[in-house]
Amino acid sequence: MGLEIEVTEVGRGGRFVGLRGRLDAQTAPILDQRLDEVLESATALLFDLAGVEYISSAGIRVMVKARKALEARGGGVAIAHAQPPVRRVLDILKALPSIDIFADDAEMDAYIERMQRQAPS
Amino acid sequence: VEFTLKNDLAELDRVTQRVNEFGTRQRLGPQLLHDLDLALEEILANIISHGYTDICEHEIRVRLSVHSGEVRIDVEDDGQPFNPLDAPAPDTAKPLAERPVGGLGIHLVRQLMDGLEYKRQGDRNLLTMKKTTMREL
Repeated sequence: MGLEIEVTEVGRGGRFVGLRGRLDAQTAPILDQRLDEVLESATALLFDLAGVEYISSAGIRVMVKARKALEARGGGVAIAHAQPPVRRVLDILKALPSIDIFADDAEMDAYIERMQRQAPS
Repeated sequence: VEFTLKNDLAELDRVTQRVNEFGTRQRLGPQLLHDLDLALEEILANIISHGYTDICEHEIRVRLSVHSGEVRIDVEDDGQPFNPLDAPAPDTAKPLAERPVGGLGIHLVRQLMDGLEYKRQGDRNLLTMKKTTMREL
């Protein structure tokens, strides 16, 4: 178990955050800490949850916290590839209205393109 | 199945293992198993993070059983009195970021489980969660 975190730069302020494993009470603080570093220079985050089969409220809290921090400076957070168990939890907690969740790769690509365009030169 | 854990978040991995072993033996479906694992994590993480005012080691007892088409999880701890049924339901009409964070886990448990019962007995919290196994047939 555990959580693997892979952060890739997209454009100037965008970061692609690929996660794999379980995002639970134990691993959420690890992600939180990592995001604190990432948020120093990022304006937009895209969480790719393709490899996440489990999320609890602790994991959602970390993403919401990042979103709050980024929106305060005009950025945002989005989620791609939420798997059925994760999607159910997001649905129950009605996290959907506050975070973009992409239905397919085309939507995700458009978002990434936007992230890159917004990057100040 | 019955087991105990210490008030340490690192114990939660072992809890997931026990839930999975139990589920395999009882032939529970993957979604039901996921929901049991999640509800138990939310309750245990809550007890471990907020249930104790001292820094001493405490023991939490968990019992998993199946009776006539219903999975039952009993959790017993000696932390501060806490009745999850009293926790106010979060206002889900509000954006997540504007809601107080604490209630999320309990709200999730209420939605995932079919029944919750709580009682305080002496210095212990006794929580029973129930979920029917029928839905996945």
